[in-house]
This record gives sequence, structure tokens and C-alpha cells, in this order.
Amino acid sequence: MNPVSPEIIRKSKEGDRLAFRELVIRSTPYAYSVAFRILNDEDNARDAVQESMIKIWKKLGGFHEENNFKTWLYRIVVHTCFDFLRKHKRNPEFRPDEKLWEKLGASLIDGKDTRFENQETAQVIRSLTNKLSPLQKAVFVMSELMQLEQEEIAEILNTNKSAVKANLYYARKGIKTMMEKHF
Amino acid sequence: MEKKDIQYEKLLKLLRQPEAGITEVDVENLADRVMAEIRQEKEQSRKYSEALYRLFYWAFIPWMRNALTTVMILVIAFFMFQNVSLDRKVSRLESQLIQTEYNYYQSPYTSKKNLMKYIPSGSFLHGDSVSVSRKDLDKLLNEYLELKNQSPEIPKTKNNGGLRKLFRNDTSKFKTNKKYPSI
Repeated sequence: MNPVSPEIIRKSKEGDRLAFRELVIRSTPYAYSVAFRILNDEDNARDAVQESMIKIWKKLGGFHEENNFKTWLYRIVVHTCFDFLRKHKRNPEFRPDEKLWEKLGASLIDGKDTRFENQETAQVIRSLTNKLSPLQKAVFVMSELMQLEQEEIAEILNTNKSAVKANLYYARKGIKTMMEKHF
Repeated sequence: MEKKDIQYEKLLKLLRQPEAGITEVDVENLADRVMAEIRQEKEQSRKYSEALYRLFYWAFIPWMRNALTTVMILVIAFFMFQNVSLDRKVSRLESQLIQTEYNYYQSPYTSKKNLMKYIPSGSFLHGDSVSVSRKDLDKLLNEYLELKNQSPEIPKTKNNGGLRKLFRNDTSKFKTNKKYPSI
């Protein structure tokens, strides 16, 4: 994945649209990765990324180049995803596909080597995190799936490290309870 | 490590495996959509600015701005002058008021409010009270005396005598809003 160079950021800040297009192309995979794992839906993730990129264009003037662009990008994407989650409230009646559940069980219990497609991953995450709050889900995704540092997560979520730890603790607990219930 | 912890670790490995990906074509399409939206927003903002300019272009003409400021100052000055002038008139009229009343009734309004009612209606009646000006009382008394001179046969009543005495010899008693004995 090509990182976004400071030159591209500087030119985009000056209003260079070609540079900004390049910035969008280079940063979309990162943004999509986090959006897809939080929203668990390809279309919603694409819409959230698109909305985030427009926000970035508008807010780029306020970005200080000494800061980490990736963290700043994640912050905008995660907050846009929170807005999406608020709009499309969690469905308490959500039930995972039984075949998928069996496939997951076979892998976890019997130790079969299994690979999931994007949609399958989305379904598993959605079913396991259905009872979690958006913040707990975001912390789980960033900490456990994307393996970001807790300091970075705290910066992205505008909170402190202990809040991240607490949210991660409850997220893990919730997911383990769901696993116990189903396997 | 407990069984559920092992299962949890396996689950995380499974969910991390497929890097939630987006194809290059999708990235290009998304970038195009973002740029189109930015162009559209810019266009809308330009149209809005143009419309605002067309509506308020006169505000950018210096002599027009100065003239309008002058007019505004004059209008405010005129309003203040009118206000002071009206206040004085009201105070003068109020000082001319004499209330003569039977079964004095205390109005809930201030005397100034009563007066404001009196001015447009030409008379002021409230409950059992009657309000007349000093001028009217003088006129009434003069007419009475004139009539009395022309018709000496009008018998002198207790009240008539009282009236003359009251208005000729003891006018200092008449003050605004003061309770007087009936005529």
C-alpha cells in the first residue's frame, strides 16, 4: 500500500485537486478496511469512505503536517462510521447464517483450516459484536483486528488509554459470552 | 490458557486473515465520485455566492453604503426625538388630568396607561370614576355662571354653592389622581 506522502498532503491543502485525487486513491484502502470492519457492509463502508473523503477535503486546511495523517484519517472515518451506526441502529433480532456458523464452529472447535470471504467476515463480526456499543466495537476492531496501539486508538477516538482498555475489556467479555452461547 | 481464550485467539486469527479489501477499480470509482461531489459542492457554493452578490451588490458600492448609514442614523435620531416628544406630551396631559369620582376604584393600570387610553377615545370612564380635565371643568363652571346670570331664577342648591366655592376659592386642592368629594 502506497503511503500518502507529505508532498501530496501539502498540495491537497493548497487546493490541488489532482493531488487530492491521488490522496483519495492512496488512503481509501486504509479507510475502507476500518469502515468495513465497523459497519460490516460493503455498500455502507463505501458510502462512509466517500463521506469521510469529502470531510477530509473540507478539513484538510486544519490538518497540521507534523501530525500523523493516518491517525487523522482513521479518526474521521471512525466518527463517520459512528454516524452511520446511529442512523442504522443495531438489529437485536440479527441471526447469523447457520452454515456460516457451522463453518466457524468447525474451525474453532475441530481446528479445520478455514478462510473467510469478505462478506463472511462481515457476518461473523456483526453477529459477535451485535450487542456491543459502537465505541466497544470500534475499539475491538482497531485493537484486535487491525492491531493498532492503544495510544493510537485513544487518539483516534479522542479519549484516554484507560477508556480504551475498559472498552476493550467489555468488548472481549461480550464476544466471549456470545461464543460460549453458540459453541 | 482456558478453552474459550484459545477459541477467542483462533477467532481473531480467522477474522484478521482476509485484509478487508477493495478492488483498484472500486478505488478509482470512489475517487471519481468524491471528486465529482467536491466539484458539485464548489459549483453550488459559487452559485450561492453569485446569488448573494446579485442581491446585495449595492452594499459593495461605497457611496450607497455611506448614504444608507446616514439614513439609518437619521431614522434612529428621528425615532428618539419622537419618543422624547411624545413622552413630554403625555406628561403634560397627565398633569392636566383631574379625577372626580364616586366610589373611588383603584385601577390596576398606571396613570400613564390610563391616559394613553383617554387620548384616543376622547374620554375615559373606568368603573364608577369620571375623569375630566381642568380646562373642561373651568368651561363647565363658566357656562354654569353664564347661565345663572342669564336666568337668575335658577334656585341655589347646596351643591351649586359647593361647586363655586370649590373651583373659585380652593383650586389648590386639585391635583392629579387625588380623591375628592363628589360635586
